Amino acid sequence: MLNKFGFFAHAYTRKGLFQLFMVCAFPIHIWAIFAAFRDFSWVAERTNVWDAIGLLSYAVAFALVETIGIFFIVALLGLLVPSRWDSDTRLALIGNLFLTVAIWSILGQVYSLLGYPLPKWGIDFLVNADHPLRILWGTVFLPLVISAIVPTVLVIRSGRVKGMVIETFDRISLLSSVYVFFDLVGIVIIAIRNVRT
Amino acid sequence: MSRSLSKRDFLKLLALLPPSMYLSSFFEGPDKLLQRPDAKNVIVIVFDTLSAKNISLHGYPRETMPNLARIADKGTVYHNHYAGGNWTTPGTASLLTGTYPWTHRAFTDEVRTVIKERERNNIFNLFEGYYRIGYSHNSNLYKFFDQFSLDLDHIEERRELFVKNNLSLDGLFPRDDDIAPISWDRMVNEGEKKYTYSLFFAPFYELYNQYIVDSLQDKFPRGVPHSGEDDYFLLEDGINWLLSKVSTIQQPFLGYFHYLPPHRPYNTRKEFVDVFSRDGIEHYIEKPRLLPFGGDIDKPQDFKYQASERQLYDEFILYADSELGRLYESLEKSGVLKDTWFVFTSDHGEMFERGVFGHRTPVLYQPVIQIPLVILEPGQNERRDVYTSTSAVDVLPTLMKITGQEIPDWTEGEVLPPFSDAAPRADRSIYALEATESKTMEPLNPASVMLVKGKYKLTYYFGYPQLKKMGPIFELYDLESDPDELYNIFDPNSEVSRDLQNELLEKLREVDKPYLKS
Repeated sequence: MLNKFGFFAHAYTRKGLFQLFMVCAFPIHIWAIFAAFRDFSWVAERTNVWDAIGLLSYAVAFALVETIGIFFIVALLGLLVPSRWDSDTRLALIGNLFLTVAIWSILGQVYSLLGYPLPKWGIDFLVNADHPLRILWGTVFLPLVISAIVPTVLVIRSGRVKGMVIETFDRISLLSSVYVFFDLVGIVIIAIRNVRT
Repeated sequence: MSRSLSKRDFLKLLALLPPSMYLSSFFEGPDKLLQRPDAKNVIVIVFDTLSAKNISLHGYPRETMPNLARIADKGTVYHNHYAGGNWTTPGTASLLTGTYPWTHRAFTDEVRTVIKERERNNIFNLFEGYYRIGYSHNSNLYKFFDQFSLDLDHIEERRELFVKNNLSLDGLFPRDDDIAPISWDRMVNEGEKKYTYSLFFAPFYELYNQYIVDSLQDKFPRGVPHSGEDDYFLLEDGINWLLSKVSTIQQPFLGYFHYLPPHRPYNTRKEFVDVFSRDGIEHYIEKPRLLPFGGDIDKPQDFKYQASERQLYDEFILYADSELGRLYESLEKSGVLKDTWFVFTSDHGEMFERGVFGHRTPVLYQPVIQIPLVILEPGQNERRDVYTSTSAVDVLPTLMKITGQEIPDWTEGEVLPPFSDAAPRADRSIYALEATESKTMEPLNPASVMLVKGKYKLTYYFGYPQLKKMGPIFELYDLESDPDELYNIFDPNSEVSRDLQNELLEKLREVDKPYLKS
């Protein structure tokens, strides 16, 4: 299958692609399951437990679809990595960058969820600033860029860090396989819900 | 497999019995529906913020609701109908519970639900044998839907009918038309919860939504109708959904459908833009600003602004009316109306006079509190007009009566004429209340209380900081000779003023009594 996409075969190993898929699945599923469980109780109360299970099933199934979409985008972005670097470096780099973005995305959602307002001194500072929007975006982007660059440099420079990253991906793959199993269960539940008379 | 069950296995299975019995209760469907072949359906349509004072059917000089006038030819029209309160929460709670705001206590911004001991006293609970369905464009309604959820068989999520939901999954999972769209919605829409199931799709989905909304600008040059930042909706979609729903749901049903137009912002459809701009009806009538209160928009008396706001509102009503007409025609054509009571009303009005614009105001003048009510009986072919004063709290007992059900003793309403067995009473007292700044579980203060009795309307304003210097105010109007409330005839020495004042104050003492500190 991989041979049909020569450029992919050149850039990734079969195992590497599998690991990349699982790395993509990991944060997407963790968040989707966490968020769906927050709605579980009110759906169960308003309708019944079967509907709440249905909600979870759709959530994990949609997470699988999201994972597939994101996986292709990430894998394609991985092709931008210079070809002189081996497939392990490519995997470590692109997987790492993806995880960094995912963590920031989760933090952003958690921040919205907690509903903490900006501290008064922060608001006062922005109000008095000449370019509040630039400051706001800068404040967000600066740590994001640093958090992306530091591990990238470490992966490129240190074989030990690269090895640790690949090893971590191995473990994440194992955990993610549980989520993929949940996806399959979810799809079966969705099928049952939609064929019932 | 063929091994016989040991005693130990049997006991293990027995241990599973209680939890499985408990769990089975969650898997039950809706209660059994009424098995009465003559039971009629009930559809209640509420257009938010629709003042009777701006409706042509009730004498407004602009032809704002030609379709309602046509529909009314086959129904009963209530010309002096009053909301329970002057904004959605108290107004709708009175409609749904058949009680005044001082009883259901849903009148503050902080607590937008009825008090706990009264939460089962609602219309959905009374229509137990019916399939009960609710939808609203207005988010306030979902406080009640949540509170009454045990008495509702289906609550359509507000977001389901937003413009952005063009990518909803209803078609993909037709047998799972509740949970699949909810899950999808939570996947991609932040909504009030401010987070999504999806980490990466949501921003792309938002961009797509914006594209869809932008593409509707041609049809709605004043902006696509919405109530918040991103909750764009089309009344057309809401009406289409209703039509598809009533033809498929179990019967008999009670449907409560609450649409936001003509609530602000008044974003009418292209063909209604500027239709009233040169009709010569501008500020309508000059009215004095007697009270020191503002509204949603508080402006000094400016007739140009008043005329322009009123025109925008009237043109939005015209759009809502065109959809009401389409709904009625489709229901009639499909035969649904043959077996259905059709109720059309509003939750409160809107005002454009005396420097007060909107409805969130302490004043209780007619534009803000007088609303339409039209009831269509199945098979009715001629119009009936009722001029006796009636209230939103009367709708619940009336619906109970006309569907042959027992009227609860806790309602403060009466069966409306001509459905009542008793003759209409001209001297009946009708109330309305504004108490947004009061505390839910304390005596009303500050508040505005209206009493309409016969041709007189007395309004009592008390406790407001604006009244600190002048003290409480009574306003009395003779609505027969002065329907525009221009001349306050309150005189403590006149018998009429005294009698009405005593009655209103006595009523206030009565309703405050349970909330007085011992």
